[in-house]
Amino acid sequence: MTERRDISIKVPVLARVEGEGALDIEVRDGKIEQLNLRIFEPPRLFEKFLEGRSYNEVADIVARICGICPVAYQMSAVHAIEQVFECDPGPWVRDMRRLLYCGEWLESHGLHVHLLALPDYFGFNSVAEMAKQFPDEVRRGLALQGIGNEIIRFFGGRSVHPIGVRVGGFYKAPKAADAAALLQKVQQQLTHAEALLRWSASLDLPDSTQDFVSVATRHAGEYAMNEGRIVSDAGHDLASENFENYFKEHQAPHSTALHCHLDDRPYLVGPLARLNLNHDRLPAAIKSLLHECGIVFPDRNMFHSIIARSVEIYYGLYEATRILENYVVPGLSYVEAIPKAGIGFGCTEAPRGLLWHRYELDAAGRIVQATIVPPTSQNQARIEEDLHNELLAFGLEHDDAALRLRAEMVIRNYDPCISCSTHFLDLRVQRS
Amino acid sequence: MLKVIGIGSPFGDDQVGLLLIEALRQAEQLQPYLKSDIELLAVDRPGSGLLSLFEGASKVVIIDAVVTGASSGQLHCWSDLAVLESSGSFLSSHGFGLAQALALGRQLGGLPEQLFVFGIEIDPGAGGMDISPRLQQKMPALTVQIIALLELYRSET
Repeated sequence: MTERRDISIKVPVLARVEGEGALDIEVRDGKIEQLNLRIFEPPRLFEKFLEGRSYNEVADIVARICGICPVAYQMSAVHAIEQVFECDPGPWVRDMRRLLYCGEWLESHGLHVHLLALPDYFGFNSVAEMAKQFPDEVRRGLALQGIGNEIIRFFGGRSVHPIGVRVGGFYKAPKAADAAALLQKVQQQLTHAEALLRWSASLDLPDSTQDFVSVATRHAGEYAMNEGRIVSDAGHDLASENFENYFKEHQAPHSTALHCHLDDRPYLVGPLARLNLNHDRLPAAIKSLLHECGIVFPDRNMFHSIIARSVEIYYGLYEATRILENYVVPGLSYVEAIPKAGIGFGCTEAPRGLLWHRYELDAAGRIVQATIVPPTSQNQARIEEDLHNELLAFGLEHDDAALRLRAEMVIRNYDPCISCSTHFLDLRVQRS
Repeated sequence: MLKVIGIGSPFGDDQVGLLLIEALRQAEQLQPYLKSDIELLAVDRPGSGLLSLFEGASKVVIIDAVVTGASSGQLHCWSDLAVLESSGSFLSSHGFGLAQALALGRQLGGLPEQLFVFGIEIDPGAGGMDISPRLQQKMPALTVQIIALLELYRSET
């Protein structure tokens, strides 16, 4: 008979306040008695900060919310405001926004796959340790992340956060020569991305097939990034303005973050959910590569999130190539928006999932009220559900270190936006 | 050329690295050097992207917020990077911070020949959009201290 013991595991994922645990698991008599994930959410702070600000300040302000995905916050915001102003920026801006989003997906996924997820699967404590044995693979990750950053820099802006985006388009159009140079660099990375895709498909990943609902935006003719209806594999098909009628946020007693449910149950957003719902929107060349690698969607194994990210890395480069090959300098890089009062909604696909914004504006275009629902808050209930299922399946008889590692691996699949409010170095000096 | 990189986020005391770069940009004593000898750069949570900022630089100073338990506003100067060992686990791509970037750079041979880290002790509980009054009060003294150190490093070959 397996020995039953009491377990208390605290994973300090949130170092913002020293010693504060972000994941607490209590096991008594062989059962998980309590499993709480706590995540601090800076977007809530910004909702108040935005009130009274002019519409033309919003893109710059929301870019500060997240150091990893400033573009996502800008995209959801400008689409929401343009909806209020009935402003259509046209096909050039539309394409450039897709290109910019490709940059952010590449940057975020490149970092997560190589530097955070892969060390887990090879049994290394960190990417620095992994780099001793797999230096080329780690360099490949840095290069894929780097090309993402280059795409973002292509649209101007400064190193602290991108400022090239405005309501109606972009402040400046990049030069044709810069587009040609960037195209060459993007194309060079396609080989890396294909190698990564084949490699990720060959990894011996844990089997953890679970029942969950996937949610993503879906577009009639393309793999959705900036536009589309909100769909789920439970049959939902909603306009972004109907989000609040179906997705309900509530305060979990153990967390300052809000939990979000769809029809009273947790759901998944992010790369795996996107591919589960939109794999048929991938270009034929990518579908054929997936087929060759034996990659099949829909996929209900959360550990295959690393494969989903690799697919989106490849797609990001493929789509960036397409857009840059057709690049022309426009007469104007934006259309002038005329402020008016109203309520607008923006729903786009951040690297880690659906990011929903709602803004109420007055006649002068000032923000009266802002609501931002980030992907991590949407995934939080799903992460807890996954941890519960996965730890039981893994076996509570494992020692604390093994359970803790497994819990971390489960959480990492979601690439949660845990500490975007803070980055400081939590230093422990080791003296001999 | 001495490259000075301030790292931060726009929240609470965590923005101290960004604010100090701005203060250095305005400092009269540094004006003669800012075109040719000293390059100032402020970056928001660069993660592993920090390594690409090292390219082509042989002498780098990083200014970042730290929490060691000392009093807020204290300046730490490290040249021995082995001391910068982080015990924190990181589950999201946001958690890839300075310690991890430096450890990775060391492993891949991508660190500058001379690298100094100036850690500014902060109050990790100081959230919101503004720097805490306690740290704000220490900013002029910190700027003076850092200018003196930069002048020293700049003149050293």
